[in-house]
Amino acid sequence: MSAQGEFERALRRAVPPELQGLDDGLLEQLTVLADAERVRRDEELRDSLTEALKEIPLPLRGVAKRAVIR
Amino acid sequence: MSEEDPTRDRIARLLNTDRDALSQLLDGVDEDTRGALATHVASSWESRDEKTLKAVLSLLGVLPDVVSAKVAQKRMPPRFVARIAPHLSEGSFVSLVGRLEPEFLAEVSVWLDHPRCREVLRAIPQEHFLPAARILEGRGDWDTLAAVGRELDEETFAASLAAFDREALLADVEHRDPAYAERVRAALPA
Repeated sequence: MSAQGEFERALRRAVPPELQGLDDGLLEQLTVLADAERVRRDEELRDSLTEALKEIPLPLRGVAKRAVIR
Repeated sequence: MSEEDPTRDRIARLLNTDRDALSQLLDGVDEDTRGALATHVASSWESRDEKTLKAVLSLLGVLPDVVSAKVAQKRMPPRFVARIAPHLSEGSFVSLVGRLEPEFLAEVSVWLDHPRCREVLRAIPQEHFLPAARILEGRGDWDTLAAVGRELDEETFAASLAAFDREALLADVEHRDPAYAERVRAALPA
């Protein structure tokens, strides 16, 4: 499933009772708005982790990589 | 200038989208439903991002505090640090905040999902946040200052205002956010 599908599924899963009557079109439009943000978040995360590892002093880098992978 | 609408602004921050466009979309949706919608969007992101956020927290957790702060400030955008803030323990957040430059902390404050950061915001010693608050004040970013202030208990809120000029503060916020102005008056009696 695509990342977009994952977010859409999360947004539509377990909709709380107070949102049950909400116009389905509104959730749909919010999901569309979220799509652009999803791309930014994924880029931000990838870049941040890559850059963060560069900043970590060499003696700690192995521990840091293992922490990320774990 | 947009009319004050904290819940709309929260959803706009969560979706990183234009709040005026969002105003049209939410037109006719009552406040309780908007609040539930904001919470639902936040938890949906969290559900999607859980694995990757845990990786970042795990990374910061194995580093000495001073290295964590340096890594966060030099290599992570403020918006990204704001995303992980609700997942940090009070102790970790306070330690991180105490080591961040005020400019960076001010930017982080803009992007926080403030209601979900209530406990950690209350735990920050005011002297750590004040320089960042001054920067936000200088920019006229009352939306962020009010969003942070809403999550503070009365005692902490009053302490956070002590360094501000009461009348200047009221003059700035009165027309935009009457409820916030009322709270300022209660916290800082004339």
